Amino acid sequence: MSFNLLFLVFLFPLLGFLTLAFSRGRISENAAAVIGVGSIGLSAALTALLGFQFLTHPPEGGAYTQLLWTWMNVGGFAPQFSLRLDGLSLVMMSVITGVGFFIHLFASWYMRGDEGFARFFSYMNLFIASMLFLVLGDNLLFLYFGWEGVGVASYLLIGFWYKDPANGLAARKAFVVTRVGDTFMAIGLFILFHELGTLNIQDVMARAAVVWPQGSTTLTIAALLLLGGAVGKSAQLPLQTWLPDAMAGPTPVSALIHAATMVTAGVYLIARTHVLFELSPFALQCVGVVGAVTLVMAGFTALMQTDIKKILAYSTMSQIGYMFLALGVGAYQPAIFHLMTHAFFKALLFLSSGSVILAMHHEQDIFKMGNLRKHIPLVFWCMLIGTMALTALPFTSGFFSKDEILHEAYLTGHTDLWLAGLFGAFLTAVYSFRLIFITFFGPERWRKESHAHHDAHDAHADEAHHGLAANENPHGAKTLDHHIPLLVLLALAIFGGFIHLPLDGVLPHAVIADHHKGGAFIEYLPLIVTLMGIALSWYLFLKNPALPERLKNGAVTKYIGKFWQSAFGFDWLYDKLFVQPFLWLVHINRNDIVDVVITKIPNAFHSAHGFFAATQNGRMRNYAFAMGVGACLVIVVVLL
Amino acid sequence: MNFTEAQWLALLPLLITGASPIVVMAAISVKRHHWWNATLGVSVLNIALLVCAAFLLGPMVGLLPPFVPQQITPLLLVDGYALFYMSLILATTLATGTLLHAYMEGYQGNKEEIYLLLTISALGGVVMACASHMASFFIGLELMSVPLYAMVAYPHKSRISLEGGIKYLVLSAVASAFLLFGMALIYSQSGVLSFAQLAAWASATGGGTVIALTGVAMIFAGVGFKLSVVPFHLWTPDVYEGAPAPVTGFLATASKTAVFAVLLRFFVDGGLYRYVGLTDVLTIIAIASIIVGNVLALFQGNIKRMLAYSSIAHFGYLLVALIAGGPLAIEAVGVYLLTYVVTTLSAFGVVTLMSSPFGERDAAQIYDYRGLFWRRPFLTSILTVAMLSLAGIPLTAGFIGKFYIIATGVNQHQWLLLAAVVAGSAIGLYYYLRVMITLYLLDPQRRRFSAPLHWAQQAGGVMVLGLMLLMLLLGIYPEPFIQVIKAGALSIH
Amino acid sequence: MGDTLNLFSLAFYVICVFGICGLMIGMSWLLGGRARGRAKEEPFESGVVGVGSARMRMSAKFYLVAMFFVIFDAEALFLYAWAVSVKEAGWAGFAEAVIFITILLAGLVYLWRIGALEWAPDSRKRLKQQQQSETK
Repeated sequence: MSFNLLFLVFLFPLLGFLTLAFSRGRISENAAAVIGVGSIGLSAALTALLGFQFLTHPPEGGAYTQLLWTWMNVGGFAPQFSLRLDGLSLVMMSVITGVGFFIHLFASWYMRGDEGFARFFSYMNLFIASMLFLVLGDNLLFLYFGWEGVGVASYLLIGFWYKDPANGLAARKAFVVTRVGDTFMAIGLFILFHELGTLNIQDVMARAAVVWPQGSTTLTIAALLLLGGAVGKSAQLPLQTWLPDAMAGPTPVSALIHAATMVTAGVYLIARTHVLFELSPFALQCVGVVGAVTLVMAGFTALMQTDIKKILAYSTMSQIGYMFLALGVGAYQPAIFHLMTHAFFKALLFLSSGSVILAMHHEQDIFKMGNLRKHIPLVFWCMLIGTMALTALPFTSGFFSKDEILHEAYLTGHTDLWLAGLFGAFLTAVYSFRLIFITFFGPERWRKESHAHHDAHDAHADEAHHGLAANENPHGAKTLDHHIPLLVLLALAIFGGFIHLPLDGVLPHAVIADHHKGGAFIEYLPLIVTLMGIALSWYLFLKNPALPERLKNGAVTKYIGKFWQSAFGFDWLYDKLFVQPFLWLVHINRNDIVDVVITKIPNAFHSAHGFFAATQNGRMRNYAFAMGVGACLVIVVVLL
Repeated sequence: MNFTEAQWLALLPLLITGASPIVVMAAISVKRHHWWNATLGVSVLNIALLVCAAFLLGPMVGLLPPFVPQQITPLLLVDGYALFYMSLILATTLATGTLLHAYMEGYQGNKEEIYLLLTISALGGVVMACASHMASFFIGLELMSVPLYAMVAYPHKSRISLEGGIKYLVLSAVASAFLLFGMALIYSQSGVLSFAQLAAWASATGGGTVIALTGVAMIFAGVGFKLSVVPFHLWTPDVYEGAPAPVTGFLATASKTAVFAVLLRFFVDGGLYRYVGLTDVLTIIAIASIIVGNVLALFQGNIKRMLAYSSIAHFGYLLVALIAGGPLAIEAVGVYLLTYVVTTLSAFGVVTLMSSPFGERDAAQIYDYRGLFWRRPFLTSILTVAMLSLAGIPLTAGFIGKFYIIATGVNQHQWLLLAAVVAGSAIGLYYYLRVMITLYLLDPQRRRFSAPLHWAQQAGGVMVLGLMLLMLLLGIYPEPFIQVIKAGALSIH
Repeated sequence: MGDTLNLFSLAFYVICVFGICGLMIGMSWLLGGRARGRAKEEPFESGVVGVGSARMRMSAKFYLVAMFFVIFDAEALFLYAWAVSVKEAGWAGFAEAVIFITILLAGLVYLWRIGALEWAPDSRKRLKQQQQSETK
């Protein structure tokens, strides 16, 4: 077993993608599932072996670089395709293939019977391949390549059920908004290449420290542009608006791409290029502030959502905010640690929610559920453990990682960020347990709801999207491809916090002057706050459900609620700020002044074409004559 | 005439290629049978290609001792350069032969003679690849061109084929006359015909006599016709349209490659790059070719004519490397020709496969390809990759070629030419993408043209599929090919 | 110096060529009698009035045979060159001549086999075969 098998890790998903893409729907569902899930399984197994090798016999210098090939070597321009395996990429790779494998397995249950089964898995494999390319590439150019690849896969998967125009719109929104970030990032890469002459990550890091002094303006701009790319991909303020809409995709997609892996790419990018951010304190501070603001804002929004997947989407946004906060205070290792544990419990939550949704026959509104713990106990326990991890209750993985983030934020003296994180923890507890209490406890709202609903809309024949039938109970799945992923992720969500990540060689520790600052109270404060949040949640949504209803209709609180529900009105703001002025510009410029000028160019080509085409008159004598004239001209020019 | 063993060995590819028309002729006399005759001719050429490749690659991997360059009589010089271009021409001929077999199946009349013509033409190309003397230059050129007239007009019941053949015959004769007259003028001044001696004469005497320069200019006029650069390009679309699709492919690839190979050798070994006036005229020709070729292709509704115009532009790009010169130029020409040949062959391969079962006309109109994706996804993917490669999109072969051209231009600070290349590529994108879009439009009701259902099982289909993979491989991992081309580069004196 | 002289002689040559052509055509135009008449417009050959149309269909076989003659005769010319230097060329020359003749022979066999030497057109041959089979 040696490291040079590294390339196989991303080759398997790529082959899976190609096979499925070219099968053109001719192969059976089972064959597609075997190929789609099997390719990721092979990758995951290989990753495990490589990881074992890496930990027992670490390569020299803590990193192994595999040169796949030199693209070409022209006049000193010799871009190389190479992969780099170090602690950070190993962690990312394990999360992607490990969690990815179980999500694929779950998806083979979830998607069964869908007409685009093979297509679904081909996109999923494409995603995994691109994501692996993103984390393994040792060159920012290839990182960018993978970055765009995951963007495309995300676009395809959000719009997977393309027959509903709303899904297509959501896909387009995600693509366009992340593209704004990508453009920033591309400009950042141009600056780096222009200034440093290389895009190899290690060289960039080494040279940046030499070329630029601490806090140099160019460097700050480059770092901020990279941050722009990161916030786009990771759905942070101000490019966060696409993530809730991205929930239009199938639930395993939400679990894999929009919770566990792709959205954390921004965190990975910043961790990977942390040297740049350390050289620019302002940029680093921006990272932390973006994270803090996002996590609080997303927390409020999640509180008001009714769609089970949207709640989880906002909680994802908020959790990534924690990671950004951690990065911002220099706590890179806790950030990656939280990235991993978050992948475990958020994947678990999303898969469980997918199970809930299928059990309720494609019903996503939590206020049409209730008391589900009696009907789908396994899913309930999964959801509960996942939520406990999310809220960082002790003995779950989330406890270790989130606690570490908050503690280091405090110890490094970022009290303001720490307070925001603390408040976020409180909000997390409230909205997460709101989800649990409303969905799994309380009255069985779906009985009367679905009944009335059914009567009202009897004409609607499309049963698959309209919840349960009148006298039906929610029923859980009983197959292994459903249970195994949930149980494994359940175990990981509990015990994942005990994993020690081999990040010491790659990422520095936070600079902490006094390890005992604040004492035990500060350490226990997040837990206390969380417990308060759970209590409040219990009171509001289980004990006294009339109160939130009253608040909802209160004079002032009504508007606050609306404001929170609409995610602080960012969609509205962007609509007013960008879309409307643009439409207005388009409106006043209906005749398109610029276009009038630009049309001149094709017109010029058109007439040029007409002119040249007139010489092609098919008469041989003209051709011969033209040759003679041409030869004369050539002679004259040569002689002159 | 006492040849050493090494000289015999170096001559071997040429001799084997020379034997191939005799073999085909003998095969036809024994028994007229399409598959058998074609296979026999193609196998002999295969042997020649294998020998060539072995001579080229053998020394690289250490299997063979290097025994080239070998000067065989003043006429022929077999060196790495010659071996590379011989391999390229032979491979192209083989591909054409495979396509011809698929195409000619439906032809009413004698099918077998076209292989005779093809092999003779290939022999001409091979001679040109090793020509180091005006005489072998001219003999090779005529040996290659004369069979081509017949090949273009091979479906002699078809009006446009005949028209194309006649046009090609007459205009090509005009071009040959220019060429020959130019050679005569040079000889009248220098008294030598071999490239090397010509260079020696030019550097000794300055060589800039009016008559010698006129001669060089006339040679360029003649060669310019064969390469179909502006202003000698007018024949191209008519002949391309009239010729059967595989023959068009051959005309666009093997014939032009051979001519460019000998032109480059003439340019470098004959020391022509020293003349400033020549560079000026080439610059004008290159820019005019890029602009005129691309603009003419813009609104073309016939895919064969469009490819004809696009080939005019492509040879404009190629001239940029020749003009820019510098250490990278010869490598750049090799890379560009390789990528161009692979791409163009696959495009014409698809046209051939679409056209083969019908006798009346080729599937040449772009609307014949409307919605092809919904019927023949693999064939469509091949044409898509070919169009992307022609447009020079990264990760396809065409990008590598264009990148080399641009790198050469940047090295030598040829900003004007580079501007033309960039503008031309931008215009080019329009019509290449137009073809691609047509492929994916909705399936029209009437389906006039369609490849036979099991096209991939036929040799032609397999070959075209292989070409597509080669295009992608060249785009993703070109380094080994570049190494081979480096081994076959000319040394600039 | 030599250059301009060359150019001068070239120009002189060109002028002479055009001059002589012009002189010949111009003189005959100037000096020749100009009588018009119906019969004057008719083509004639050596004083004999043409009969029938010039668009007469001739069998292509004539040209074919003429071409074969040219080909094989011209090829045979090379053998003369070899014949005068048979001793100097030695065995190598002999081998080359043999290859050359073999190729020619192969060409002849080919022409024979494809029926290029058949005088009768294909259609009549088929007719003949048909008649034979009918009589049997």
